[in-house]
Amino acid sequence: MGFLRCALSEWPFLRIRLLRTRLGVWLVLLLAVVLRLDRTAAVSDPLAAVLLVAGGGATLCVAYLAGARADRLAIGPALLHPRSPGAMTVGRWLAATGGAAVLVLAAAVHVGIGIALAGLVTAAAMSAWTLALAWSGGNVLVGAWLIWLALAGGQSPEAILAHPHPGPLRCAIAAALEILPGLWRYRGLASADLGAAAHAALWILAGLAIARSRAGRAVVSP
Amino acid sequence: MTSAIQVRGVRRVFPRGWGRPAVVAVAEATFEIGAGEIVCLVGAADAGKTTLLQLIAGVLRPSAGVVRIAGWTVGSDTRRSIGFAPRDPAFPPGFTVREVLEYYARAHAAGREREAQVRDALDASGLSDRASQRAARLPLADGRRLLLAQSLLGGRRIVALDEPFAGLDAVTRRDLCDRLQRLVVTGGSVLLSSADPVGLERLVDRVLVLRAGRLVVDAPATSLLGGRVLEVVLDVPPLEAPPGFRVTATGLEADLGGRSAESALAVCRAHRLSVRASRVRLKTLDEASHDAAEVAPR
Repeated sequence: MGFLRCALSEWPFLRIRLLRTRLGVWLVLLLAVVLRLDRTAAVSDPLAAVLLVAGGGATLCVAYLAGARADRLAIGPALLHPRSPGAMTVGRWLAATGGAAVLVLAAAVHVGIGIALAGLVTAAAMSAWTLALAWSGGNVLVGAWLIWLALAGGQSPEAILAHPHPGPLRCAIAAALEILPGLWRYRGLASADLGAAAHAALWILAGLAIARSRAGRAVVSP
Repeated sequence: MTSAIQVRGVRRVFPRGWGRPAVVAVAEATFEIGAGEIVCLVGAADAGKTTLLQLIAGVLRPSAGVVRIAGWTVGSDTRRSIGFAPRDPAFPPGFTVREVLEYYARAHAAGREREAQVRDALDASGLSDRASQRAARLPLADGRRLLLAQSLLGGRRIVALDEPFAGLDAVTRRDLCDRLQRLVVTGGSVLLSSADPVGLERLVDRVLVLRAGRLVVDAPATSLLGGRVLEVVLDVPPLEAPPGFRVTATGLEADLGGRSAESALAVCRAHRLSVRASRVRLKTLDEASHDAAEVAPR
């Protein structure tokens, strides 16, 4: 009960940041740009658009809800109250995922339940991983991740390695795409691919565990 | 009766790595604080005051020894009993004062009880009229009040305050002193640290002096503040101070100890110093704690 109450106490972050920062504007802009690009493309790919909205939305939400230096400094004082780092991490993750989920539902309103579910799971995995980045290195890492997502997020490792002489850089990028949460992999969620679902679940757990460990260090130094 | 705060042989060492010797921030600190006491932790910068407060608040784990809050070994459970206000205010950006307190209070209570806690904390800290202001943009004095308010949430009566008066003007200092006194009247206990304890004479019951991580003085404020000082204003500043005196901006100053003021003034006259005015005053807390630390064994 206490865990749930503490986790839910992180929800005001979403409301306050949506209303008082540029987060709301960025989310609407992301949605509009992605949908516009999809509609003007030669071949429309609503699944790719929803996943991009989910990944980008989750990353932006985490950046505004947890990545700022002041937010990270405020973790310590918040944990001086009877609130566990785990509850705080889960709460902030749920808030960020909630923000991205609204965006996903808006993007997937006409494209079917499968794509919408894929978007929601992608948002959950992306926000857990980004939260781990945010509490490890702040918005510098989150910004770098957003750039990675925009440039390489939709590519598959096979496409990167299709070059006749891939070289070490392409191999490294392909390995990163294989391991890290990637939009290409979560396309499988729409067709109930168990591998993609397991990958997303693993990253949700790993991201939350890393973030929880970082939050715990803010209050009790061993 | 259980002490509010009990510190037994607490030691905290920070390893530095690369073969360099570890830093002993707090060495074998032992003391107790009872209900209704205000205790001031005095010492120079880097004396170990903040580390000791963090050990008591559960922010740091002791390398050795034990800290108990209301009889319980310090840990996540004791956060319901002790409130801690760090030196530097850090609140979530975008939140108003009321929202910050509501956010913290959600860890203590729900519904009407939470609302009542927030209201009480706002009243206790004097921030009721600033409740709708952004917390991150508060001036330092109000930031400190908000830190005090959050430390009192959940009905916590034991508070550890790290430099609560640093950088505050005299009016705000006095106001904060009054609020802390009201807290202890109702059975609370306060441990505060100060590198500059000027003006805290009326507030504190006991003084702990830390020097290089070691607790060198633990004495009631009344016993430390009993000393008298003779201040002498001279027409011409002396080249060197007579025995037992020290030179000040306006003349001379001497600890009277068991001497009378007349005998000390006679020393000035014997050195042909023209005395314009003189007065006897009580030692201030910073003088008394400094002197006590000087005579304490190293």
